[in-house]
Amino acid sequence: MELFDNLILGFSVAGSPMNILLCLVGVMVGTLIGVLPGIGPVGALAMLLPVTFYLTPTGALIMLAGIYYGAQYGGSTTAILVNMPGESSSVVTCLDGHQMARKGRAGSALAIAALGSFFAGTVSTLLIAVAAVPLSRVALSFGSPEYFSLMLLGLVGAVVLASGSIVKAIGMIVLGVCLGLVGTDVSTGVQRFTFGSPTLMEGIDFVTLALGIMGVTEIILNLARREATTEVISKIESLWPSREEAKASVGPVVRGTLIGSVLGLLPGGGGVLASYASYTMEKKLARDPRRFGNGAVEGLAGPESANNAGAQTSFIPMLTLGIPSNAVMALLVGAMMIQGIAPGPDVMLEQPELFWGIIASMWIGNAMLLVINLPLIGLWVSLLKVPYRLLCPCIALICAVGAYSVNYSITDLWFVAGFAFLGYIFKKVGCEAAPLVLGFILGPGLEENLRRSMVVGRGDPMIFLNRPISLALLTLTAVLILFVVLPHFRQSREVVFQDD
Amino acid sequence: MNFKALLTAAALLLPATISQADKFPSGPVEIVIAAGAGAGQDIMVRAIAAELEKKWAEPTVVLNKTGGNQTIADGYVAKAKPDGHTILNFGPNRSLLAAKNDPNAGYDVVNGLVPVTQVNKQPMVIVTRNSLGVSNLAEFVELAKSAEDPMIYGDNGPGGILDLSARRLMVDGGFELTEVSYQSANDVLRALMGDEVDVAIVTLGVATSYIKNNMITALAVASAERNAAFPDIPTARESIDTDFAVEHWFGFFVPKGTPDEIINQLHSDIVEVLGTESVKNLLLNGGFEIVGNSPAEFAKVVADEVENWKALMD
Repeated sequence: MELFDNLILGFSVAGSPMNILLCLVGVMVGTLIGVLPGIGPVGALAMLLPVTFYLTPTGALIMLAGIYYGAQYGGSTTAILVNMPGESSSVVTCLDGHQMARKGRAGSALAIAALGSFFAGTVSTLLIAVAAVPLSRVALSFGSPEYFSLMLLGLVGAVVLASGSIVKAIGMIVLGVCLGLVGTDVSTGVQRFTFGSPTLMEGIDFVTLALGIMGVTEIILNLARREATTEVISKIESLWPSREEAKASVGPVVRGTLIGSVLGLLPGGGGVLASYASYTMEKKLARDPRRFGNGAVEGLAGPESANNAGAQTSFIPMLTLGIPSNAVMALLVGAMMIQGIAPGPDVMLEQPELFWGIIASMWIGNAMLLVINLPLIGLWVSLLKVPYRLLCPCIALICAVGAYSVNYSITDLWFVAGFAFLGYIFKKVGCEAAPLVLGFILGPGLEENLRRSMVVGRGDPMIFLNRPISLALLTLTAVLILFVVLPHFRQSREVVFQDD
Repeated sequence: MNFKALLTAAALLLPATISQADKFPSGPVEIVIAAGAGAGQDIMVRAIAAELEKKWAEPTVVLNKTGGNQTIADGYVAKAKPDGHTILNFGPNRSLLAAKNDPNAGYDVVNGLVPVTQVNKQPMVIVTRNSLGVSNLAEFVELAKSAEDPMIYGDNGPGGILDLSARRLMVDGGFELTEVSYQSANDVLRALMGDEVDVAIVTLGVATSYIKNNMITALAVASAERNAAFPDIPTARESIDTDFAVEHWFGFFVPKGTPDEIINQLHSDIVEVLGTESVKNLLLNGGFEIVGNSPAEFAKVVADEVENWKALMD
C-alpha cells in the first residue's frame, strides 16, 4: 500500500541518528521557549534560521518543526503552574489547568496535558499522512467572509468561556476588542488610539497583555492572600491523574483532537481558535458546567489536545501548497529556500524523503516530548513547594525579562504593570480576563475580514449568507447565542413561579 | 624620570588607539528592518546578517521595527549615531518614495538616510485569478475599462510597492480598480486562488510556484525586459501601449553623516557576503537578481525611483 511505503520511507529518513538528534534538540529548545514567557517560537526560529544552512534540508526542517510544537507543550506548563500563558493558545489552559494546580492537582494536570497532547499529535500526524492533499483544499476554501463568521462564532463562544455573569463577560469581550483595535489600521494606514505614541503604532502586543492581566495579576492576588507568603501555593497530592480524571478526559481529548485538526488547517488564525472552541464545546457538553473555571479536568484535556492537533495540521498548507499559515510556517519556507528548495505543490512529489521525513519526525518529536515531559512533572511540582515569598520574585523576574524581550523596550514593562493593575481590579469586581484576551485576539481579525468582505461583496451584506461555509458558521453562532440566553429565561420563569 | 616614562608609554600606545578606531565595526551592529519576523525581507536580512557576523566577529542582530507604515524603522536609523553600527534595510514604498517631509516623522525623511548598496532587485508580475478568463494584459485592460463595478486588486498594505504598482498601472492603463489590503503577499495570492480578488501585482519570487502550478494566471511581467525564468510571459510594455515598468528591490542605508570610509567598507563587506553560498541560494531561489552596486550607483537608483513615482505621490 502506498501509504505504508511512504511511512516506511519517512521513518527511515527521520530515524537516522543525525535527524533524531536534531529532533531532540528542536523539541527541547521548543519546550524551553514555551516555558519562558515572552520569546516565542517565531523569535527563536528567526534566530536559528542562519544555522539551518549547515544542515540537510530534512534535518533543518525537522529541528525547526520540533521547536514549534515543542513550544506548545512548554507553554502549557507555565499556564498550569503560574497562570502565565506562553502562547495565545495556552490562555485557555490557564482557566482550569491553573485551578487544578491550586487544588493540589498540578501533577495530574501536567500529566493529562502531556498525554492528551501526545494523542492529538499522533492522530493528527496520521491524518496528515493520509489526507494531506484533500485537507489542503479545506484551507483554500476559507475566504474573508468565512473567517469573519468563524471569528464571530469564536467571540460569541467566548461568552461561554466565562463562568460568571454573562453581562460582565460580554463587557470584557468588548473591552478586549477595543484594546485589539489600538494601532495602525491594515486597510487605510490610519492610526487608532495611539495618542501619537510610536510604541502604540504597532498595537498592543499579546505577550504584554497576557503577562500583565493573567500572569502578574495572579502574583498580586497570591500576595494579597496573606497566608500564601509563608506557605506554598498548594498542597501536592499524587502526581498522576486519578481514575475518574483519566476516564473523564477521554471524550474531551478525542473531540479536541478533531476540532484542532480542522481549525489548525486554516491559515491565519485557525490554530488559536482550536483551544477556545474545544473549551466551549466541553463546557456545553458537560453535565455540570459550573465545575468549569474551578479545575474541571475536561476544560484542560480538550483544549490541550486541540492546540497540539492544530499545531500539527497547520503544517499542511505549507507542505502541500507552499502557503504558510502563520509566521512560523513562513520561516520554515525561508529555511527551505536557503537550502535551495522552492516550496510549492511540487515538493510532495519531487522530494518525498523531505515530505515524509518531516511527517514521521512529527510523531517521533511528540513521543520525545512525552518522554521528556512526564518525568519532569515531578520537578515542576516540587518547584511549587518552594515558599511563595522566594518563588514570587523569580516568577516576576522571568515575566519582566520575557516582556522586555519582545521589543527591547522598557515601555512594554510599564504596560505589563498597567495591565496587571487592571487585572487586579477586574478580579475584585468579578470580571474574568480570559474573555478579554480572546476579544483582543479575535477582534482585529473580525474587523479586517468584515471590511474586506464588504469591499469584495461590493457592499452587499448577503455575501455572508450566500456562501455555504459562512452560512453554516453564522447559523451555528445563532444557535450558540440561543444556548447561552435560553437558560436565563428558564431560570427567571422558575423564579416567577416560585414567587406565586 | 617617571613622568618621562609615562609620556613615552602614552606615545607608544597612541597608535594602538588610533588603529582601534579604524577597525569597523568596533561593537555590535544593528540591522533594522520594517518587516516582522518571518517576512521575506526578514529571512533575507537574517541570512545576510549571519554571514556579516561571521566576517566581522561582532554580534550582528536584526531588529524588527514594524509599524507606522514603515516609518518607525527608518526613523530609528535616521536618528541613530552615524558610525555605521546602525543600518537600515529598506525597499521602495511610500515613505521612501514620497521624499516629502512628514512633520510627524520627527526626522528628515528626504536627507536623513544615505544609500550604501542595493542588495537585489526582483521583477514584479501582474497576476489574475484563473476564473477571470483573461490570458493577456490587453484583454484584462479591456475588461477593466468596461466593468460596471471596478475590479478588485489585492495588496499587502496601503503605500507598499504592491499598492503603488497597481495604482501606476491604473493611471497608465486608464482604468479604475478597488483596493483590498491583506497582511502579506502570500495572503493576496491565496485570495486570488479563492476568487476573492481579481488581480494583483506581486514580486515574481512569491508568485513563481503558484504560476508554475497553474494556480493563478500571469498576464505580464512588470519590468522592461522579459524574465529569463519565464520567457513566455510578455512584458507590460509589449502588451499595451505604456512605459509601465516597476521593480522591487532592497538596499542598505545608513544615517546621514556617516563617514565615507565606513560607507565604502560596508559596501565592500556586504558585496562579499552577497557572494556566499547561503545568501546566494536564498536570494536566487526567491527569484531575486543580486546587485551589490556602489553607494553612488545606488543613490542614483533611489533618485530615479523617486522621480519615477513623483506623479503618483501628489
